[in-house]
Amino acid sequence: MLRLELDPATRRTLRRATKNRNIRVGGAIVAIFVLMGLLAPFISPYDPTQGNLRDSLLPPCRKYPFGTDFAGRDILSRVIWGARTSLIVSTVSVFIAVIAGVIVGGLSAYVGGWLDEVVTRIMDIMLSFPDILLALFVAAIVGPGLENVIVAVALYNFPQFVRIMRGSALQVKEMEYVEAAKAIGESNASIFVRYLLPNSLAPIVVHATLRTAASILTAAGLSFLGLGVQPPIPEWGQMMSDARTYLVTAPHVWVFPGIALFVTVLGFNLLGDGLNDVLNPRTEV
Amino acid sequence: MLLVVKDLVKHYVSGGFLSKKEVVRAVEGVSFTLDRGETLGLVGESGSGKTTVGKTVLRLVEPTSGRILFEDRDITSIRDMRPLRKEMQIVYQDPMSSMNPRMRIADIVGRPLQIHGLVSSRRERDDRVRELLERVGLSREHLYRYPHEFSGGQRQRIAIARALASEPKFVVLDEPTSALDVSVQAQILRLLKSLQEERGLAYLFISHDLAVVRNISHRVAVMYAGKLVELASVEEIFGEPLHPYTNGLLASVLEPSPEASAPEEVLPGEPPDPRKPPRGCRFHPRCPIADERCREEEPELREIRPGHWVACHKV
Amino acid sequence: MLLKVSDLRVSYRTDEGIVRAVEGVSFTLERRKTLAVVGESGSGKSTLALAIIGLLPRSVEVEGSIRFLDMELTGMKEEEIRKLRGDRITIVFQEPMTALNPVFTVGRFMKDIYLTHREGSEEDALSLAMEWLGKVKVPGPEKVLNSYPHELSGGMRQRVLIAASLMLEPDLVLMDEPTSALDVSVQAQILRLIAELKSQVSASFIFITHNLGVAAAVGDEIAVMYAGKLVELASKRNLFEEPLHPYTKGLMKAVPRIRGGGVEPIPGSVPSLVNPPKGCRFHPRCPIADERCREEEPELREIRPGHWVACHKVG
Repeated sequence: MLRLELDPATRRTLRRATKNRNIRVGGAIVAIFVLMGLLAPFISPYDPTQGNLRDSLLPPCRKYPFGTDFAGRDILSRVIWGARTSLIVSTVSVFIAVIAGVIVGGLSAYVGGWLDEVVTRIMDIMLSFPDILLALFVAAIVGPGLENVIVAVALYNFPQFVRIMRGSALQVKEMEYVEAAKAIGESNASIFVRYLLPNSLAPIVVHATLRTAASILTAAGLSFLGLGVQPPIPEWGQMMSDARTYLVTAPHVWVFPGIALFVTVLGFNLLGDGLNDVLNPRTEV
Repeated sequence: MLLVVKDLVKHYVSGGFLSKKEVVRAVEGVSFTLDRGETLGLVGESGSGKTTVGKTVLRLVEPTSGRILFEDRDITSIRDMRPLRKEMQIVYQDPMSSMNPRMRIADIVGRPLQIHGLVSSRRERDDRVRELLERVGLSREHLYRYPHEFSGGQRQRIAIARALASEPKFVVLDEPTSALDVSVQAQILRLLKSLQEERGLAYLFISHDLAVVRNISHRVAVMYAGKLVELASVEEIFGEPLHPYTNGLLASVLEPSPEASAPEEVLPGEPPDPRKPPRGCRFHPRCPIADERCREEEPELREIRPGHWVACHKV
Repeated sequence: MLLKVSDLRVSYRTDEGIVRAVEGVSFTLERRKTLAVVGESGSGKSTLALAIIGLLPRSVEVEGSIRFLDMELTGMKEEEIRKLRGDRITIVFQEPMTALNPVFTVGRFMKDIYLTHREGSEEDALSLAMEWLGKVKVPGPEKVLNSYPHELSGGMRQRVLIAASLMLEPDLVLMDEPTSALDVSVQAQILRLIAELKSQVSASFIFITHNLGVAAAVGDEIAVMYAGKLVELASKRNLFEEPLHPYTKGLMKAVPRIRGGGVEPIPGSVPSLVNPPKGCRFHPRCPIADERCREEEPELREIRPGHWVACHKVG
């Protein structure tokens, strides 16, 4: 039983996390977003792709709480299903970027030498592109579509995680316990996995949350430009793009996906800030 | 001889590409030997290079030049030191920072057993760790706790248990009691002594505290600015110190007594910058008896009496 | 009477519970006297100093009375205590680097202290700073005046802070482990310097240290603290000739001696201040504790003139 207990440092962090206001508010928003995405088939009142042309561009009413778009599709249902699309794109792309970034950044820091030099230079080049431009570039080459958006967003997140992991691992590498591990005869691989990785991950957790917010925005931006998720899959950016023609005459068409996007991004950012307060010892008093 | 160190040198080079190249001469030609079951105290102030010597001997830091022989085998250029790590261990000053905060005691102390194939199952490992914990004065129940659940003294006991797990012959003790309270320091010194008697361990005991070194060492080496200035038995170092620096250090020691007062004769100045050590004898700017020769010519470590080595022109 | 501390209690909240860092400490200090406060980690000795000079964070609760000259310092407004701090009461910390602003020269640092508390010109300030840098024997006061902290050695920085703490002729100087981060030879120099300066100024000193030898070298009176309580208070002679509290006795035996001996451990470790033992806080480690010690907290009593002890088994 004892083996299943969390270590006290983690327990203390958790206790502090539950008291943090940013984490509470951000966490609640993120939880709603995730639940919406997961439960979309069960909670959305209509099929998000099937419209009734007779109900085209209806303002919010009893039948359609958020109104309908030009094709007569229920905007509430499309917002709910849009959450699912954003959830998939952002989490999968961030997950890929984290795994790749942790491995490349960690090895770069631990091995050092020419490997570190080469990795750092490549990351410098990748980071010198404005975020959206890099994603645009990739999307333009591989073409639109859900999988390709994921690849594009993952690629633009990747160098950020490499850099953060490298910085964190460089610090941990200088810790005395790493030398102590060498002194008892640990192999390099074992030092990397048992000592370096577990102690370098805190800033990655914070950054992953913040990058999820940015990724939702980027994915929406790509879709807005027509380079992202393609119809009929509902997506917030694409919904707003569709609303361009009715900007004034039917504002509900873009207002609701806009609010959903804004609140979700805000939620992830609050959560990220809160995690930073809790996990980053420099901000401790 | 268990350990023979000959002309050990360690230089750190910094800068060189855009900034001016600087060479820090941390250790400059240090030689000594260590017998089985013996404790050599290595005394010095900050920047004397004593810790670098300890880590270089274990090849945790690569020597610039010199030779290290362990059990008559030259280990200076062995590529894979890992099998040898079983035989030579280290205990650090700060036990907290020398332990992975995310590992349980069972893993911290048990890893050496697994790495060197000394146990065949997890259960066997845990049993051995329990025995080790008990031997260093901790409870068997502490197995699944984490380092920060312990006091400083208990943590140092854990660090000692880790160092002893693979049954080494030689342990570098790098200021093992400097971060501890006096009452606990005495506990740890006792423990180290009894473990030495029981297992025939050889210690290289690195410390800035002369009184501590007095109480644990058989022989004492005094370092100053990267060099050995005196090496002798503990009785001779404390009874008849020959080097002016050793004398000055001894005069700086404060003892609690009713007659105590601030030290009368003190060494002037401070240890030199290891990037630009003084010419001649490195101690001459602070030395009360230095003369022209000391300013020009570097003294060699000479055997003045059997077993008593001093590097001073005036002795 | 310069300072009278009565029943001082300091406590603060942490995740683990309320820490009672100082618990009912009382003592008096005469003019031109030095009180050395000795204790191990967690004894509350540094907290005591910070409470006197009003440098504890607001969230820390300070109760009891600190009478200084004719003022009550506990509960004093921040603006008022700020006027005293740096002028009538000064403090020298263990780590001089953190007490000095890295972007200001020594001259600017000392000038600012002067101009904060005195009406006078910059020239007055600088000439006073020069005078005091001379008194603390820094080589080349002029050069030091124009140096940044990082250009000075640890010993020099500590001399600068001592000069700054004395130049406005304060009534009370607090020194919190001022030599603990220094090498032994430099520590000896600083203690020698403090001893000389003490005879030139009219201030009283409270010298906080974990080192019994240092306490003996500087103190007229010695106070021994354990787990937030004052357990023994006596003149240097009485305390070191005939320590009465079992903890003080234990400490004396635990200190390694330069002539050999000592290193007799006190079993156990310092208790948690969140949940200190019932009765006498030392009883779990005490060789002579009995039923009463486990239940009833001993008062600090004057066993003989000027020798105060908090132990049921004494007198």
